[in-house]
Amino acid sequence: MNNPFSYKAYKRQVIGGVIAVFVICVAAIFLFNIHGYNTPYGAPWDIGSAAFFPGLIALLLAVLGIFSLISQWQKNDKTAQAKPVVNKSPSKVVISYCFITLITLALPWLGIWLTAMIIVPALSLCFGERRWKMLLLLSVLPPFIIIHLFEDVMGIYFPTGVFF
Amino acid sequence: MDFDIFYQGLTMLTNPWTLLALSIGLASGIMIGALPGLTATMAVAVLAPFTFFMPASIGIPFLLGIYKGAIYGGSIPAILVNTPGTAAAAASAKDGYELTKQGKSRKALQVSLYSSVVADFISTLILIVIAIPLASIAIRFGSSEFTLLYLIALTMIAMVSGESFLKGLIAASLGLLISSIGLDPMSGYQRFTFGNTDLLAGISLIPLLIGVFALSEILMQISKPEQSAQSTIDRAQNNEGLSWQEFWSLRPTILRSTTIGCLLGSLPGLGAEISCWIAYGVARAKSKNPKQYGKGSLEGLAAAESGNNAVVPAALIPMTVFGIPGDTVTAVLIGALMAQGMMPGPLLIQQNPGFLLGLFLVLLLTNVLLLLFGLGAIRWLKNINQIPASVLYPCVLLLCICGTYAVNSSTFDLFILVLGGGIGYIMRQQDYPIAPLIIGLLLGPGLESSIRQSLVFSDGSLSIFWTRPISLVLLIVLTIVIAFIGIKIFRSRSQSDNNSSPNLTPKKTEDSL
Repeated sequence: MNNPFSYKAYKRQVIGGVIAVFVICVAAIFLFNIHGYNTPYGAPWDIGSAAFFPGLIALLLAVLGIFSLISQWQKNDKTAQAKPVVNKSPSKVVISYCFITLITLALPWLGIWLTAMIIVPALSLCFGERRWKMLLLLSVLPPFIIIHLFEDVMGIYFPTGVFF
Repeated sequence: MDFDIFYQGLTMLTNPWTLLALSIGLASGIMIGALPGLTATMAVAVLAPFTFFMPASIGIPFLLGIYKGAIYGGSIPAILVNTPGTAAAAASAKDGYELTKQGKSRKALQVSLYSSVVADFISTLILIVIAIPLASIAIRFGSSEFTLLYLIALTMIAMVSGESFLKGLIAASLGLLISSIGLDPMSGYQRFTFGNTDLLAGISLIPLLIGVFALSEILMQISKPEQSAQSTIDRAQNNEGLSWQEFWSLRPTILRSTTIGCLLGSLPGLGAEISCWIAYGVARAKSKNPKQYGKGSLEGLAAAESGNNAVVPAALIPMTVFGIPGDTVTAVLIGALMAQGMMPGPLLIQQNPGFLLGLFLVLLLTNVLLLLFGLGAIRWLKNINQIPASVLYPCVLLLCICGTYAVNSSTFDLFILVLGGGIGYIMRQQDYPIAPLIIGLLLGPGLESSIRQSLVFSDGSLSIFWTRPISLVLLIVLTIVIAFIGIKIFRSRSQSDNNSSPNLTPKKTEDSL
């Protein structure tokens, strides 16, 4: 761990391992559900049952996850070092993603206008836009065009929210 | 041919709304393709919800216009500013940008346009000639043949769409597992819904597609450091045009690359981003001036452009004949066709022959329009690169949210959108290919039905997969594909022992899926 390259390789290996464990967990959840109490979807090895196909695929996924986990730890540092590190600011992505999720899921309460007028300039800020006039313009013009396109041209109506 | 079918197809072609939708789709596709970071798949996924409120005869040509336009449009920034608009245009940047630096950008853009149109036209003719006879064979396919066909498609897609075959398989399995959520296709039994009525019909395809392709792309762009757009447009302004003699001399290269594009496009999983490099490599190997390649060769540019554009109609062959997507864009097209109540595959040809003929005629017409729009684009589209990311991506995000909500007017779909965006981002960051996930999700119900039907017919015996002649042929093909993968893995392991990375596929650009 003396140089930054080996640290990056190690970090990449750990993230790869975590994803492999996540894959195994997903497969295990499906398998647990299929083989669970009273086998809710029928006998997993019965061709006619609803459990047959997902059982087979979940088992395959679990095996692949285990292989992936093993291969992560067998990887040598040179292979990992060769990978370019594309992501420069993961915290910015996490914050943006959480914000997008929050505002998007709050659409029924905020309404489409408020959602659009918040999310467009906020994302623009994430992309480095700092001119307040531009941000103001972005909070009005794209929502106006896009919402009118959907509502007036295509007849698709969005929730107005609790504030209007 | 039945006159009614021909009349129906001709009616679709001459419908002014179809022509308008096609023109708008083509123009939007060229513009979107010209914007670096916005891929053809993303364009089709984001704009697909608009088509749900149009008749299929208008909506599907609109999406095809976007697809074709985006693949061509990607070459414009590749030639002018050395920034491929789409992954498929990566090879065009090599010689195209060199020509721009030499003050021959107009010539380069003309070579790109004419090669694209010729390749697309030939490939469309091949699609028309091949699709109907192939479909008559596909009609004879039973459940065992379809099982093997789906397995071949999934294996090939997992093999070619990413650096690691294992990651491709994991993505495909995950897609298949997600597809099993909802009602069992055979018994109608509820699976993995946990009492949630929104999950009864399974995971909504379009919101997931928009999330995985478009939202994840926005997140990828946020994570990138800010780029200063260096403009080489000034250099692009003076220049000579392409002469007829020059274009005529490119004839063998265009024809050869079109053949390669058609062959690769008709195989599931091999998209334009691979075809352009193979066509470029073959053209270089066959060229009398291989040293000129990479230094502004018209042949190299023509090879790359005809190689990637020939893929577009060819990718529709597995879609229309077998209902198997040829690439990620056709996966989205299948979703749009299903939303219109049509099931791509032999049944589409049997039940809607007039619509399909109309679609083929529309594809031919698209080439004429592409030529006209392309000539216009050469004149003014170079300025499109100047739209800043801080304006472009927030607008795309709003389109994603509105488009997703428009599918079912459901808040649950918005949840699928953001979940898909997160999954897509993590997959891209960790080099997991997205295409197998989506294609697994699409093929899942069909694969499950065909496997279970085959085994029920044979009383659980696997012999059904080799006792029928067509399934035996398909089983041999599957074995060859698996053997090929085995050899590749073995070779890449021995290469990695010699201090090189264990790649299965040619190195692809960042936005390739």
